[in-house]
Amino acid sequence: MTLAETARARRHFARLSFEDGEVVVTPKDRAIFVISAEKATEACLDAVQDKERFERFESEILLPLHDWCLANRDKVRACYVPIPTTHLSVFVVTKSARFDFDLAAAVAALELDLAGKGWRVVVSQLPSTSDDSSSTYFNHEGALEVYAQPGSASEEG
Amino acid sequence: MPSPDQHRKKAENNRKLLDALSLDDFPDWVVTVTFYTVVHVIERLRAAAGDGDSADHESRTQYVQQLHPAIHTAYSVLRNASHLARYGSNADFFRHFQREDIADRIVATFLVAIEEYAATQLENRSR
Repeated sequence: MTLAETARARRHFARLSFEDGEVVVTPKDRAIFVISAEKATEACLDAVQDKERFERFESEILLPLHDWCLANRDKVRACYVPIPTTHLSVFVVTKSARFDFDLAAAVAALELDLAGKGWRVVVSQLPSTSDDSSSTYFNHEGALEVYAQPGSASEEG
Repeated sequence: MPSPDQHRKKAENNRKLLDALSLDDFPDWVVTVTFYTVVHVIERLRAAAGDGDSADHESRTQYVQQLHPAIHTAYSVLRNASHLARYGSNADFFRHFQREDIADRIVATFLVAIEEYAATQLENRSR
């Protein structure tokens, strides 16, 4: 096994699933999820109480992101939210190696919609690469996997 | 804090560099310089409005989202493309962007849209 294969085989993401309009986190991934949610809400929603923060992170970020990915599943392979710092970053990994300008307009509309709810958020499109170089753009460790189709790197791990 | 005029000069210099760059030889730099031209076009708008400076790309994004949503899509696309141009490998960049994408979309559509929008805004402000 090459180094790249070894790296891919080790799953760093907290994998989320969605059922009946709710976010489902496995006990194994719960700690990562809590850290991300806390950081995201610290960065974006200073004035909001803790319990409400988590609910808003789920209802205003995670669920809409998942729904958006489902609506664009013909083009989107995966979607990740790394542990936030000063703002919330979202990376939409596409199936195509070519930058999709139509999807980019949809990504911009999504970003504007999320920002309109009071979140400091930047959404980026990452076109497919031959060797899954997404780690060039964000730290996989602790990232939330909001959406992934079978065949995505983490699905294989 | 740079003045609107200082941002205008930076934007104009970047535009000159952009026009001098060969798209065939330096397509990634064409994308990058396009974005940094837009950065100064927007910072000029911001300074002219007395809204201070953007601390980073994210705060500029937030400023555009809140006060100039008409150019948000163009800015978002250029920020995204520039990020890929700066940090991705050359091989990936050439898979992501074709020559016509850069000439027709990045420069002729999105950069020009932001330049025209800013020119109108600044003209309205000066009346």
